[in-house]
Amino acid sequence: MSYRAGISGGPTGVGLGLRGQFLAEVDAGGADGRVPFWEISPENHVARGGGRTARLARVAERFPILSHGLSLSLGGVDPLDREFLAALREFLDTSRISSPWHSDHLCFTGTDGRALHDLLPIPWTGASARRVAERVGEVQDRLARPMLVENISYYLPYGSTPLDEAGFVAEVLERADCGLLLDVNNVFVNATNHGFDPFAWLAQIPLGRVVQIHIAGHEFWDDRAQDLIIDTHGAPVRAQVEDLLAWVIERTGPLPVLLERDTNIPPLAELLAERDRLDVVYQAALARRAAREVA
Amino acid sequence: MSDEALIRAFAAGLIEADAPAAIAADVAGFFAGHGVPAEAAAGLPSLAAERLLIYRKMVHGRLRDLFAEFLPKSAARLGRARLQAETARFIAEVAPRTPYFRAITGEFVAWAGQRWPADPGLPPYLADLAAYEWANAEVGDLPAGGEAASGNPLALDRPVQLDGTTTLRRYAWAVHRASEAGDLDAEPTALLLYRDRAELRVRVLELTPRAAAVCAHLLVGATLQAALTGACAELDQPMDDEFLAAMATFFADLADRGVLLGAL
Repeated sequence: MSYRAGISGGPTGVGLGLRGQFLAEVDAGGADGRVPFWEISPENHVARGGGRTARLARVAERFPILSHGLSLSLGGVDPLDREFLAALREFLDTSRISSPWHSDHLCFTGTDGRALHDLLPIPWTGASARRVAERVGEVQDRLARPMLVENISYYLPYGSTPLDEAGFVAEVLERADCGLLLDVNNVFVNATNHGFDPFAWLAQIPLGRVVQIHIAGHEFWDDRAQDLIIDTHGAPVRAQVEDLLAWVIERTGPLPVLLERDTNIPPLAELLAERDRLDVVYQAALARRAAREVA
Repeated sequence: MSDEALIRAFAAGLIEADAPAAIAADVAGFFAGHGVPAEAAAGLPSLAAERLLIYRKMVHGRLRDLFAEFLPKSAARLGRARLQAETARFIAEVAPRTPYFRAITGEFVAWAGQRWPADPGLPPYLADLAAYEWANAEVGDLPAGGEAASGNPLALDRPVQLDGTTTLRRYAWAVHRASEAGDLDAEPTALLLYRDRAELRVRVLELTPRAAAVCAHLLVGATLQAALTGACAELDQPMDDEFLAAMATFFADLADRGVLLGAL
């Protein structure tokens, strides 16, 4: 049985990140029947009251909501922030969010008590994989729910390392016995910036551990030079990234696929239209998978 | 050890004030200077300096934009370049500590409160204005608020029950009258901020000195009588009929607003 098969209760289909810019519109019913699930970053809601909290609670009564964090610094060298983990656990346990798992990134976000709030790369070494896996295990214990780790976009690799990124991800997954939140846009961004085949990268990943997918758009750092793309979540998804999504879904079957949009956020109607377009890609991949199984 | 050193050196490139020049001059030397073994430092890709500085721009830019979002009037008075410079100084001197992105602005404001008033290049009211702008956001997000009223009538020998978001802030400038641009009046100002229970919006009341003095006592749990007598003593004001009538009117207004909920 795959790791994914052991996790029950998650939604499937193409969902959206629930952002403050359109939370009130969603609360008012503006996406009812159009989105199978939403995803939030709990850091934006932990220990918080007021209008945003009230609206989120009402939305959570009508939709599944997945929990995706930004601050755990799983690859960091500081001890895990146990006070934050306790607050996160309380939020996940007591809010109306019923996420069957919590996810965060394979990165560090700060050192020596300083929180830089960005997804920063870690060296791909065996020692690093062991350290990250231990920390993932501690988080799973403290949150009392399965943990997914997400592959990040990186713009500066640390030179020659004993493992490549895919090998590092696979080792963390096996050592921590956790799931993968596979970000196919990050795979594309890295493949383009660093010159490798994204499909070959995906072929190295244990797909049985893929529990959720992220997909997003990206932008050039310098529009004139066009020599570096940045995972801004600020543009529509490109066709090449949709191809990666289809490749994975054909091999895994139904999963929750989350369309991320965090900058240049368009009106909700436009986002819903992009979600619908991605859903066509998703459903077509499932149809090809079904046809192959029949054959 | 090498992994840890790489991570710390990377972070130093984002934090330290003089990092950009050092990185541009010799990125391998920068990493080596932060404990990375020379062999690992020398193995960094040729684009390492450029890419590390891109990370730095992204981290600093994200925080600058956050501060501009939460402190729009203060940011407008600073201007984009100075806000960028203040963001860099904040990161270099103390850096964010909170795991909550939304809360970093509070740390920035606390840091600015120590630094900006002594800076002759900045408007003297700027730290107060930033503190006020942040207080609005902070009160709006407080987990407390909306508590059920005790139902007890006010009594002189008991503390009062206030909505959990009720917050008293004092400023040396009329920050609540700040427009998008322009200077502020130097004017001792006491403001009561609370979150409206129906619409969940932050409301701000400008208080008289005596109303502020009474509220200060009530907010720390004094009985009603102790609050009234304490305020009169502090302001060297008799507790006469005029004072009591004014406070009765004030309390009735607070009750109408859902701020004063009764006696504890």
